[in-house]
Amino acid sequence: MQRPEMHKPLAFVPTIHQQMQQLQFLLCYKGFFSKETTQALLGMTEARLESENAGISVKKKVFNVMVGCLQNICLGDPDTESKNDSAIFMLGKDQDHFFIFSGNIVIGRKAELLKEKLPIINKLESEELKNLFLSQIQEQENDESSESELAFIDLARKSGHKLEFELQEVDQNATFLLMKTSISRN
Amino acid sequence: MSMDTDNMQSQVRTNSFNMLYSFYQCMIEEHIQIIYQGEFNQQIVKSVLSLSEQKMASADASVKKKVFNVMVECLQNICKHQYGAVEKEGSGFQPAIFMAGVKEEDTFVITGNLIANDQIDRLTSKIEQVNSLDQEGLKSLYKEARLNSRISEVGGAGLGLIDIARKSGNPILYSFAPAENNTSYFSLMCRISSSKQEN
Repeated sequence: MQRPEMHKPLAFVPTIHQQMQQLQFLLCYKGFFSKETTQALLGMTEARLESENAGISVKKKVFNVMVGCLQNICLGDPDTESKNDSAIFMLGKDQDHFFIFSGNIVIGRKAELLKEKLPIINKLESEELKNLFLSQIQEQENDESSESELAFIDLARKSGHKLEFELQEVDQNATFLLMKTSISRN
Repeated sequence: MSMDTDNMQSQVRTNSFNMLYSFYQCMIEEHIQIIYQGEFNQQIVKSVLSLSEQKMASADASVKKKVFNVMVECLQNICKHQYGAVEKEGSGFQPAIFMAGVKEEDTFVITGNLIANDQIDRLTSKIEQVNSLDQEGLKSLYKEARLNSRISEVGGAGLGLIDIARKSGNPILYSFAPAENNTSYFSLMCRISSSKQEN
């Protein structure tokens, strides 16, 4: 059978679809995260979780983690506002987990801080995370780095899994933080 | 031994993040902002539309309306045809994909799904017919189709493509890529210009 020629500008569509399936993604959003888009993303995730027949406790965990990830994106360094359009949120699933990928630009010193703090957070067990969280709340200095650390401790607690992350240097001052947070489906 | 396992795990993780990063780069290159793949039901369609609407909050009202109309038609097409090409329980089932983005200030909507090969000729001639007409021609074809068409098996009267072309004001881009089991991957792209033009 003779088929119409592939329109070159569309050659990427099946490729992206295939990648989405390989990466087990259901939903990707890239751009500016306003209050309204955040709400719409939560709505879309809810719709998707419904169609996956996720239980209430799983839904609640996914929502908590998602809100944490979105907050991390929104509360990024104010200097990154011009680059805010590069932030990304993705929802995916495999047989045993739902997972959330979030990505955003972090500026110089904060990237160094994350490199240092995230491995420490990942070494802690649930009870230790809880204690650290509580002590951080009590002692919290009102600076950006302790706020950020607290947010990641909270995320690790809510997810119940280690935070997987990668930091890719964008330029001398900016680093792209990609993070995978998993939530068990049962 | 434990060190090797750790290294292997770290390598797998790095590969997966590299793949993710290149996927992200691809989204940037193609100016894509929203992607959804999977089963489409009423609730999901509603939330896709709501997200797109929020995304376009600052756009001109008439452009917003056109984009919204085109999106609704594209999503309807997916809903109607998502189980048409292959059985849901069959091994070849592939969920449809929906994408939206902005390139050079124009909004575009892309859909991708499998269709049976015996549908290609019919679909091609339909799109080519729509693409060959100007606004006036499309209006007449729309009226004619409304009067003469019957509701087809999948629930549509074949008005969707005409409506997409009318609302977008640009030719519909499309392609078919061969897939397995007598099916092809059908990609469709509609571009809605940001400049004000009466359609």
